[in-house]
Amino acid sequence: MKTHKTNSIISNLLNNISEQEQKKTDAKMIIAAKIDDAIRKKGWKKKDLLQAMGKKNPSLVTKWLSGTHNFTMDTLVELEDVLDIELLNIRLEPAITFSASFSAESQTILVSSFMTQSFHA
Amino acid sequence: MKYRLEKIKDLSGSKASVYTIRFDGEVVSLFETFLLKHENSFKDELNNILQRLITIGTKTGARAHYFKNWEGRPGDGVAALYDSPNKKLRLYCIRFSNAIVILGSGGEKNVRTLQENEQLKAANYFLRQLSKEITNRIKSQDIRYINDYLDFEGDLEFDNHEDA
Repeated sequence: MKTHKTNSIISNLLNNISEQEQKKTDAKMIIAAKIDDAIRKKGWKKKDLLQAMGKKNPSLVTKWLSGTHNFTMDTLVELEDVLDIELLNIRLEPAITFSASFSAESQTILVSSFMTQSFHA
Repeated sequence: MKYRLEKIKDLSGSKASVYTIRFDGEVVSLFETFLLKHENSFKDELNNILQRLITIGTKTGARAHYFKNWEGRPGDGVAALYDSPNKKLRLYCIRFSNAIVILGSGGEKNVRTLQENEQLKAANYFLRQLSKEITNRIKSQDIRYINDYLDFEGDLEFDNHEDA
């Protein structure tokens, strides 16, 4: 199989794609893939998803699955609920904070740690 | 006119292989010709199609729901790749599976049916014939899947007169 190592036209166009642009496209397409997998796992057809989401326009599901759609936060949360999947990775993680104090009496430094609630996306 | 399948290394990855068509004696492939033809009038759309192909090759595979399917004869895998379902630029391709896509050519779809546009019709019908020929060669084992169905090997040279 012959491959052209220097597809300069394609390479030049690819060089104009920023990492962030590619990440956005990856995200949209991966979300679409996760939705499609979830629909299949449930044994649903597109119209079942439409019904579960309380929508009527069949082209909506095609749009969601196209990998080009820019979802709203609300739609993602609703899709998570009806499909029992995770599309948003948001967690409240406990963070460990250290504090140090000096004891003049014992001439020692006391280091203690305690847990605090922090938001990590 | 003779032509062969050629893998586009820049767009292929562990999830899918992306092929184009190279006519004998031509400096650029069919996909490169498509890019050159539309790079000024559809710059953003081409940019997006390339990004989608990268995702397909490296992360997701050529999942059916990314394409407008049933653009050819029933079951021949001829489909259209687009940057957005509502947009007009169409790149016809043959989606053999989640792992192999052969890019053809296409253009702006500003008509109701592709048969109303000679350029789109030619691009589409060429792939219908190619798909039929590849399928026949797979059945006769003149073309075989290798690398876990990620690639073709065998007789990957074709003749337009032969296929017509």
